[in-house]
Amino acid sequence: MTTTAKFGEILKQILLDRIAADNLVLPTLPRVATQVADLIRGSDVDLKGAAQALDFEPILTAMVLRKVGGGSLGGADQISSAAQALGVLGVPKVKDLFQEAVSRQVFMSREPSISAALEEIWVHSVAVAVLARDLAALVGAEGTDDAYMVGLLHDVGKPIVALVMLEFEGMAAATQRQVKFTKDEWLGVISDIHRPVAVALAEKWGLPKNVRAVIESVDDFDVGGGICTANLVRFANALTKKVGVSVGEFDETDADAVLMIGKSLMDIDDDMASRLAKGLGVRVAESMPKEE
Amino acid sequence: MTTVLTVEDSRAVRKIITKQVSELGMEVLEAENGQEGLDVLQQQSVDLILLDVTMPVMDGIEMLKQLRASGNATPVIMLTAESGKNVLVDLMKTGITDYILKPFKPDELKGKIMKALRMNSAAPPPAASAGAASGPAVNGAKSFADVLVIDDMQNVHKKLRRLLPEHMTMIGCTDASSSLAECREKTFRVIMLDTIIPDVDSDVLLGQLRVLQPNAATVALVMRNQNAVEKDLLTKGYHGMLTKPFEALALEELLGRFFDSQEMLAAEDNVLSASKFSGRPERLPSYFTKLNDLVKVQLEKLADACYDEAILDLGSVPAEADKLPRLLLTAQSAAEDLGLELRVVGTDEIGKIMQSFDETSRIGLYMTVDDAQAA
Repeated sequence: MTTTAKFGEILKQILLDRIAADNLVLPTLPRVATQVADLIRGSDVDLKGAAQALDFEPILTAMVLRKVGGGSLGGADQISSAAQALGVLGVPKVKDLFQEAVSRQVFMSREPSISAALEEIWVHSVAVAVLARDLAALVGAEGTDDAYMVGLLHDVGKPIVALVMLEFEGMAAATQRQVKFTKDEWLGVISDIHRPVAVALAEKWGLPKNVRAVIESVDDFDVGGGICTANLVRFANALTKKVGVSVGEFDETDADAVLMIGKSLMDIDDDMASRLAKGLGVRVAESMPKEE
Repeated sequence: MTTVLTVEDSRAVRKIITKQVSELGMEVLEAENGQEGLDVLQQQSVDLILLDVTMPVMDGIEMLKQLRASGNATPVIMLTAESGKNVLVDLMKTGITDYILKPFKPDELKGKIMKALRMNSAAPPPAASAGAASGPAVNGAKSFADVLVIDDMQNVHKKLRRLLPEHMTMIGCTDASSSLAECREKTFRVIMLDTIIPDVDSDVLLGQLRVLQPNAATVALVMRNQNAVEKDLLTKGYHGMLTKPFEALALEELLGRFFDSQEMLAAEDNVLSASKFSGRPERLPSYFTKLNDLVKVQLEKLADACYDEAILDLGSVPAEADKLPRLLLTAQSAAEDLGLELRVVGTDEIGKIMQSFDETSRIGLYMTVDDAQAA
């Protein structure tokens, strides 16, 4: 086992332990943190603005769903959008949650290629969300908002592992110790452990069943489900990778196979899929929160 | 004739497939398993193979492997109930062209057959004479409509319906999902979209509409106090903007941009029929300018199609003494250059205008298209 693989195993165990003990606390993704901080500055929270911020933030969205899933709020399975979840929570709880999220320090890597990789992870999640929502609308599926939310969360383990790795890197630097990864090693660790971490998190946090379904099986369709949110997100994920909005390397044949199955299962024609995916990366990058 | 081999152990499924493929005007050969399929292919080459995966004696994967190993590159569409990614990856590596998940819809099967045959350039096209369906028909042809209006206010639909020319078909929707449903069913020429609809992100909806209707022109419906800058709307992908409350002239101008060539001078064989002018009098100069441009283009097409005579039906065109001569001169000059004999169908009034110019005085004038054709 290589040192990086060993590190990955240790990190996975730490994360699984934290999730099991219910003490995994995470920051928001960097650029959204500023937006969220602005939102809670006043005496009230603008829920519409908060929902817009969540549209680009998988981790914060997962935190909101976790809050909704707990106690007497009715459970996250009833929730199909971030805006709806915020409405259920109400302003005081949203403010507390956002306060907690922005109070965590966001560590940035000193390695530019790793910062760029974090950006890729983020952009990919938003792109899958956008594509899943549009696909749902175009094929006439129920719940375009649900498709967006599930798309945003389909890889929620990746930014979580990424942020915790950055935290480790930051803490090591503070104690004069060297923890240095290449971009490939960094992505390798994420690729190896993000899925079990996300599965454990989805279970513990009671994330909606569609989110859990996609996290558990991102490449295999639910044939009985036909045109359903989880299948649309699976298709969107493969198509997003095929048009180059991906993180690191991926197997083209795998993506082709998923697309071929999805087209047949959901009766998606080639022209529509290619028109939908055209310029996706640019569209998503333009819509993302900008650096301050 | 295009020949398709279906290799499938279920007699019932073979029967369904044979019926669908025959409806495309193709010949169908049948085999019950992979070994029989290979035997058939030793006797006869086919254009496409529809192959089941699980079969007794020899399954589809083994048959495909042996087929490819022998150098046979006939396109293969796999039919299977197997939806696992890994299974399909193996099939793709073995060399399938496409895949259909069982149970399948007849349209899907027909569509994939046509696609696979188009991709395989060596394959002959299906026999059209036998009633083969074309691509769009296989996938369900869309009906046409002129204008789709998406606005949550019903009154906007009413106003636009009143302002649009009667012959134009208009469909109104008040929300995103019904508008997308219309766009899945029909092909529109112009889509008018309100930029402020409650609970609808109009930018997102515009993107979705453009995927379903890539050839439609999109017009933003904005309010006067919105301070909408046309440049911003164009950047978002709109082709034009219309301000509420609507002004008839602005609407006419927009329609002039999006509904011109085909309707203003329709061509059928060698007869060019100018449409009736239905707008406000102020729009008449622009109507004639467009006819002038179109008549040259359409005459060129007739010459290109080896016609000797061109019949220009001006029966519905207003006999404007100051505008019609230019149209007639343009048509005569273009026809002469192209070696076409020009015949005009129109009223006596048009005849008088023609007689008043040397260049047009020799053009034959007829009361009806039939008269002009019989001449």
